[in-house]
Amino acid sequence: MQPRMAETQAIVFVVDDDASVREALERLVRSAGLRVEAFASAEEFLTRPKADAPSCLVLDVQLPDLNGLDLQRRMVDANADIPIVFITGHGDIPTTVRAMKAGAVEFLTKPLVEGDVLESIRQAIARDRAARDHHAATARLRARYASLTPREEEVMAWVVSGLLNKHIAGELGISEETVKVHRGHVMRKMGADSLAGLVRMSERLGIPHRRKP
Amino acid sequence: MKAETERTADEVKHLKACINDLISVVALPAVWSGGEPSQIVSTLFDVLLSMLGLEFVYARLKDPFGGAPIDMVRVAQSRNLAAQPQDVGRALNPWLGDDPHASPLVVRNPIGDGDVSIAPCRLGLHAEIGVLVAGSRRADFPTKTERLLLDIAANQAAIGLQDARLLNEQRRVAEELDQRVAQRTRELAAVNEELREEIAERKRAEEKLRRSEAYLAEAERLAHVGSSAFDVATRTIVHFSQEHFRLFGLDPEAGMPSFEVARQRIHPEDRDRILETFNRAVNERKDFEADHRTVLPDGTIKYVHVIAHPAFNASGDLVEYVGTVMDLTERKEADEKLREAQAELAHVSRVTTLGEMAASIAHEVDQPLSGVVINANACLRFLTGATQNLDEVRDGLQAIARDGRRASDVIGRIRALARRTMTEKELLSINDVIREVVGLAEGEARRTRARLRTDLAGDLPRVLGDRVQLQQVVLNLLLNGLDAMQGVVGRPRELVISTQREASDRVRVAVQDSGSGIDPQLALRIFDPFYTTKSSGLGMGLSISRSIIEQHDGRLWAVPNDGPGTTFHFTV
Repeated sequence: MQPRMAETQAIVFVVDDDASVREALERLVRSAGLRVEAFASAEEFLTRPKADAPSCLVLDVQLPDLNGLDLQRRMVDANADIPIVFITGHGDIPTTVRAMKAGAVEFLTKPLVEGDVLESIRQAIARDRAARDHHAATARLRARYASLTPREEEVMAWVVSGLLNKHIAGELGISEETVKVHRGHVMRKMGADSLAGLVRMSERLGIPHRRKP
Repeated sequence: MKAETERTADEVKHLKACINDLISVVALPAVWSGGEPSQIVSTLFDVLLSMLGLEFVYARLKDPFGGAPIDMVRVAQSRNLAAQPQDVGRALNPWLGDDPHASPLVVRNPIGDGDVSIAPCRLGLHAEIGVLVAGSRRADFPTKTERLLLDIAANQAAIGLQDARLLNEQRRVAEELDQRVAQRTRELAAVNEELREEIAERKRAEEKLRRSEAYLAEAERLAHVGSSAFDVATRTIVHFSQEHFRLFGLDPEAGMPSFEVARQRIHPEDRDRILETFNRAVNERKDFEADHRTVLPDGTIKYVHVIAHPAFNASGDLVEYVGTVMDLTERKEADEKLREAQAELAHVSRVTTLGEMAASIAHEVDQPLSGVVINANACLRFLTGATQNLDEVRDGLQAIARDGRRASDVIGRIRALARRTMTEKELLSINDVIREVVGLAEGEARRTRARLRTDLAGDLPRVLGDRVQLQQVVLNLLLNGLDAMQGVVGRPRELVISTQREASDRVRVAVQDSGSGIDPQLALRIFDPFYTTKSSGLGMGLSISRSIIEQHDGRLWAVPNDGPGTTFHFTV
């Protein structure tokens, strides 16, 4: 993880080796009231600390050093991916398909239409914002889950698997009463207001269902 | 009376005898005529001995040429004795100079005993012929009659001898004359023969010369080469061959042209330059060599190459320039046609190359145009609304102007390369040529994911060249270099174009790639026409590039790098 900075306003990154296009895109993004940072090469962009704000990348597919698809792959590998709006001079279908599969938001071909560019950027930022929110919620959930005792984790696993208290007591070799106490703690610690809520949380955390033996 | 009569009869008898003797003596010249002096003297001696009953007759003849006198003597036959003329001469010597009339002289007989009376007579009025001496045993010798006979005989002998001498002289002169005439005739005949030989020889030489000249004229006509000689001191043309007349459009019948007439035939644009070059050669006493055009009376233009070298006399003074003039017109025309064909081929090759580059060139135009469109939209947004910002609008418009120029520059370069032009040489900066090409090929470099770097020297002289053709060469080498790096993995794909100054105001351009290099076995073939390792292209690129560079008096060659790849060099 990159060090965090106080960045909350959405930011648009532009990577294009062509000065004309790069500067024009910067100006267009500014005209939409968004923050913009531009880079002439992928390498240059990769040295920049990850932004702690909703962001997206406007990227030229054809870069001399590291091409756009390679950059996309490296960002995915580094778990530092942000939505990418690809720009290409000549849209060839295989490249487009690969880019979209790897998570590209949009694939724009030149000549660029200003409305499309800005719309794509907005969508990408929205997606990043959503992803960030989702990511933040998951992180909070993990923190709660981490506060459970091993016994409580065990009880939660059986609960979300749909077992009744007495069966859980039987599985764990404890009294039904004790199960109820643990279950109460789990509900409180996880902030779940219902069994259905707890099940959704467990799915989000990726806790596997337990099967009766 | 009887005595009287007897005396008278004796007298008559004596007179008759005298007359007979006289007639004999007077008749002597007829006998002598044409005779030799010795014969004359011999006859005279015989007559005198018998006529006068002498003891001896002696004569000393002077040599007409101043030599020793000749002594001759005849003794009476009755004496029957041989006398030595020299001895007699010595004995008589004292009286030989005496007056012949102081007689009678009695002396000792030079040929015998006793005394003799002698009568010397001069031969010739002043004894210039010689002296005659008659000797007799008679005391009364000579009588008056005898003296008379002696004198007449001596006189006749002198005349005869004189005549003989003259005759001899005449003969001698005539002989000598004959000899001289014969000698002279022989000499003349010899000279005549020599002359005849000489004339024949000269005729042969003339014939040989005439044939040689005819051969030379024919050879000059075939080779389109004329010859001439120019006298430096008088600035006159002293020799102009037939072909030279023809190449200058002059009439051989009009005789040697003046320097001015010949000068007028030189193309006006070349005239001053040629004259200046020639005068400089004359001043420096050096060889003269130049190309120029001649304009014939009908307006035809001939291209000629002139070579002349100075000729010096024995004392080392510059006398004349002897030279040749070669007709290059046909060669020029052929060269021109070849150049046209090459230009056409180069054009086809350029257009083909541009076609192959179409995608990347389109990209080169698209980029600035995208910039223009996006900037224009951004500017519109900055003009109104929440984000109104006139500074941004101003910057944006400047960017639009810049990008518009950039797009039109690219199109201009393409148009220049695609244009069908004849070779037009101008003084140009090779660095500018390279920058223009790099501007066009950047898209191609990006497409092949290669880095294009230039390392251009700052102190380059301008070179004379055809901008479009040199761009074509650089473009071709550049595309080849990019192509050679297509398969390169694991090291940077870098193409470096560098320039450096060469000796004598020339420039060297190097295009270095880090590609796969050239197979040494194929290295010699890469400049061949239609040789290619690529799937696209005509295979004419390097062949055309080399001919373009050669037309610029330069050289194009390839050298393997120490590391990976190849460097192409050319000079202009």
